Amino acid sequence: MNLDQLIDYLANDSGFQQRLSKWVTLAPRPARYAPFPENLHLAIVQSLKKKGIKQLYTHQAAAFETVSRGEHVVVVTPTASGKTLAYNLPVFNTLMHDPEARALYLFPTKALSQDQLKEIEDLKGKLQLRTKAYTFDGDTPADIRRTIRTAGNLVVTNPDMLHQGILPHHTLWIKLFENLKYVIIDELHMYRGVFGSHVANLIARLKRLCAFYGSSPRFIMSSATIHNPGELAHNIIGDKVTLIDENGAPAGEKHFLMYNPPVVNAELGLRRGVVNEVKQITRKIVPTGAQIIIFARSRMRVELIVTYLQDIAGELGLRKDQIRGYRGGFLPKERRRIEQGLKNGEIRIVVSTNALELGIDIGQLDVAILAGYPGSIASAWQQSGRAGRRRHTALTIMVASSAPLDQYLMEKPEFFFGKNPETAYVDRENLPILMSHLKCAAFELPFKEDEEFVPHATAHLLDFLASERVLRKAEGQYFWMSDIYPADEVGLRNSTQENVVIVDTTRQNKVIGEMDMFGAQEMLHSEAIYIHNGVPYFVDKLEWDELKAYVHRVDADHYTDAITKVDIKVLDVLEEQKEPRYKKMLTEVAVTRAVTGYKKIKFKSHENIGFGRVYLPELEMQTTALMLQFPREVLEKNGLKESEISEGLKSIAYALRHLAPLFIICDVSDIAIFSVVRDPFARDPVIYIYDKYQGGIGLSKKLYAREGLLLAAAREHIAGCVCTHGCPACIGPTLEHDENARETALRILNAMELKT
Amino acid sequence: MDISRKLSFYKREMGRQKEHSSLSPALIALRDHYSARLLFDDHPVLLREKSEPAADINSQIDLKIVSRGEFDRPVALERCLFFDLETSGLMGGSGVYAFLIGFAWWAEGRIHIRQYFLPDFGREPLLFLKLDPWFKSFDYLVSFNGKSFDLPVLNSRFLMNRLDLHLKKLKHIDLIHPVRRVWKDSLPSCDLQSLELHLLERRRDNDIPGAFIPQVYFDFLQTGRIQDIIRVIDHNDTDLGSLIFILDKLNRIFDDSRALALDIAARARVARIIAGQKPVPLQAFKILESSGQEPESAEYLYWKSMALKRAGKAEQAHTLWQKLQRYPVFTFRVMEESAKYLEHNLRKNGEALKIVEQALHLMEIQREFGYRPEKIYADFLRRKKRLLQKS
Repeated sequence: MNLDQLIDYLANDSGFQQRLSKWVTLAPRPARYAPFPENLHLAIVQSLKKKGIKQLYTHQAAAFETVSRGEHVVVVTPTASGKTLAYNLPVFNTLMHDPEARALYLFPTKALSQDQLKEIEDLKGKLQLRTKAYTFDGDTPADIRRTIRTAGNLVVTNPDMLHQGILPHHTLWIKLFENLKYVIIDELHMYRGVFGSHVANLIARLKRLCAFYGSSPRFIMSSATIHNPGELAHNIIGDKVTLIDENGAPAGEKHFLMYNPPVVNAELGLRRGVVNEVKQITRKIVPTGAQIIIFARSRMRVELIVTYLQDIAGELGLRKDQIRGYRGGFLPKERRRIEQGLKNGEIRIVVSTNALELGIDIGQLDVAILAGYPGSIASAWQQSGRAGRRRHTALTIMVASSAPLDQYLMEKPEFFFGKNPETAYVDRENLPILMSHLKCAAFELPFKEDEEFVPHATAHLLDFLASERVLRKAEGQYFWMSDIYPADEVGLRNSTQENVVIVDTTRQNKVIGEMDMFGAQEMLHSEAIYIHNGVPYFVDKLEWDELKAYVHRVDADHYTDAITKVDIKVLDVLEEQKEPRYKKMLTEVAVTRAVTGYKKIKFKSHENIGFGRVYLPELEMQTTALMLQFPREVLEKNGLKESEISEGLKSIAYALRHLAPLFIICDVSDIAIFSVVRDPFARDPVIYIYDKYQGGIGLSKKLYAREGLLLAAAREHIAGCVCTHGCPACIGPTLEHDENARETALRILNAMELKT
Repeated sequence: MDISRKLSFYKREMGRQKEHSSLSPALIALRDHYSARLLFDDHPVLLREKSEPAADINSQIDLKIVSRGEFDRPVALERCLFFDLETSGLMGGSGVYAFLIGFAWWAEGRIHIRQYFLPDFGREPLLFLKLDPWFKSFDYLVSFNGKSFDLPVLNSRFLMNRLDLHLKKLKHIDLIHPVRRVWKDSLPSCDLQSLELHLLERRRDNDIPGAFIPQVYFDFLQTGRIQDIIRVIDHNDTDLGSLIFILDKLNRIFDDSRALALDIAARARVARIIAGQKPVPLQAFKILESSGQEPESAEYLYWKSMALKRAGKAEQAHTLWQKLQRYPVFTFRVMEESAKYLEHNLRKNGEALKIVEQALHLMEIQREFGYRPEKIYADFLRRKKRLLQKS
């Protein structure tokens, strides 16, 4: 059975059909071509023609012409639309005239840069250029590094390596900086939130050094479809950027199925779980021989699905090792093995976090199953692009979870298939991030007194660092005055640099992975069941001071779910505004989080079978929060009792948190929410929605301007839910609140007299 | 205006005052302590010069053997500029500032030392420009571990000041490599301090550990206290002097007119270096042995035998091999060499076979004790088979 037959088969399966809330067939799109630009070197034109490329796609030609005019450019392209050529043409054209020219390629991950080098080599071969291209990353041997520094025309690397390995040693890279003509930034949409804010600062450092060496490179960027690629590009490179979003590449027919699991308990509004449903769908598809990629939202989810599928491997006619998980926390070697297994077809089913969403070459897969809405529309389309990349027909099945966001989209599929409303946001001025990069920049090159790194504030920040004795002001410049290497003090990907190492005591203390500190508190606390590649491990001890978790393999019938205690202190009120019935404030807060215990949850039945205590130090973070204050007197006037208010707030908070990503672009995990009936600061019932990052990342600030829309959406969604007493799709699982909570939540929201 | 804003103005005023006085009392005190000079009026740099007699040093340096051919011609010591930096950081990178740049050279029986101390950041340009023509009077730059640290730092500083200096054109002799080659097995560590202690028999007093040096400089900038900076300048001074004497030690290894600085382990390592040269400088063994009081180690003899073999003196080597059979580490290796020699050079297959059988017998005994020299055992078996076929 091939893919088309499978699609026919599904279309005739009435049981399957019933569960679809939408079957969208996107018609194939023909290619649109443009002639070769006049100033494209003849040799390039000829060798392209020889390889069967008779004309360029419109976006490729447009990108070339824009860059030729000396402008920066961002090209919006879906996967497999010839973007590699789009950004390589200007580079290679320049190299034909100037063999000393240099270009820097930035890919968000090491794996991607390895992959892209292959493509560059291929093009180089076609053009018969003697250009030298290298990847430069942590694995590059020392003796080759020297060659790359002096002779590498094309240096393919990632932001982390630029940050730690190249910029702080710029004097060794003088050839690169003096001759840098292009900087290529691929997968630009990845650079949002914390990572994006880091990268925007990193690019500012890069440009500063280029200016020192007298070069002024053009930036060529590519992005997946988001609402504001131009704005994002502008914010990342701090300069005017030309946007090219007319894509000329052809696309095959695409089937996108929105699958809503059946309601199993109408009273509770409970639907069948995503994991089980994915298992059933997989069962249907495997006999067709199709290679399947399943995307899950969390590492934990990945492990669960792998476990469940491996259990039925025999029934599916597969060996267990043909079903693999892929996620962060695996060692690079293991990842390479899985990528290879996918490419040569040995692995039939891969279950992945968004780690495989990016363009890592895993060959062509047939079907993509999204186990739950991935949290952003851009992400959903990228994941969907993993199926049928090079075929004509592609099939994606998105299985909705009971999460409010998923159910909202099942109710309103047009929201998903319309123009993507998602806005990517970076905050150049997140103070902790900015400070880290200011230090790195000062290490790299002394600051001049009147130099600007960020608008307006540079001098103040430098003076502050001087007063902290990190910098020294002399001769009208600020010099680095510390024996630490500042780039080592900050990682670009998360707010905490340090990781907890996972040690398997059953295999001679082999290190099987690592995890950031926040994640480690939740997944690797003592007595946790930690699942790694489908194998459950018992955590004997989490040595917090040494940042080591000692685990051993077990046969477990349950997994653990951490209980986190949160406390919020308001440090400063940045803005406030009174609405008719409630008040909103934008505040600076200190949040302390600590894992205090855990629940034991039985596999499959998901029963709660016990608790345990955990003793770990609190992790503190300073961030910004939107505070919604619901005056007690208004609520009491509406006949709400204090115990009811508590339940109601919790329910509203749940809905707000899950619907927020519709209005601000972020993952549900980027924000956190906290409700309290007697807030010590406001002395009223309060809901906090805060950025889950040190220093805040601008999310709650954006939400502050749209809180009315969010509250209204929450009310609409809670009111419209199919359940009777509240369910995970609206106000959270029934077991966790009393039976009037849904009604109470609505009473509170109605009392606020929201505009709609 | 609230008090905190007033305070920030007040602080700014204080800062401005400090900046005006580039000739600080601390710098004057330092100058007087060393009877040093201050260069450049507006951006002073302290220059400390000294010289002391050192007649007992060879003026020609021959590093051909210890550098394994990298410097194959004799070098005139006068053409060597020794250098050592003290820096604001030990991890490298462009934010590392060399605040003390020390040079030493030897001329007419005296060691001369010049140390430039930069009492603040941003004092480099004038100094570098002044130094540049002087570098032309040298052909070689000598350092200890300068290839991986000091020279990259200095190059980085030149670049940051957009200067292209002659220093970069000098050939670089980094003593750490030949020193390790010779003394690696003799000393617990091959850092400069242990070399001084064991080879030069110099002991440092009140020396400041290298790891503290960056902080000393930062404290000096902040407080102007000079006690610890003096320790750093003295430390650098000692380092520079030691560099010259260590080079001299290396140079004397094959100087038969004087006593050697080589212990038994170092002699074995030198023998190994000699065995690796092409052509093999056999006379070097004579020199080594002419001053040796104790019997040579088995390892020494082994490398000597290999050197003899490579030099085509297999007969002499064979004598050594027979002697070395008694040393378990070498037993089978030299028996193999003997067997090869007997078979291929002398064509005495019978004698060769005898040795092979002897070796196999020994190995079989050892195997009973759990020792399994599998590869060499198989080699001997193969050799035995061949020899049996021949005879």
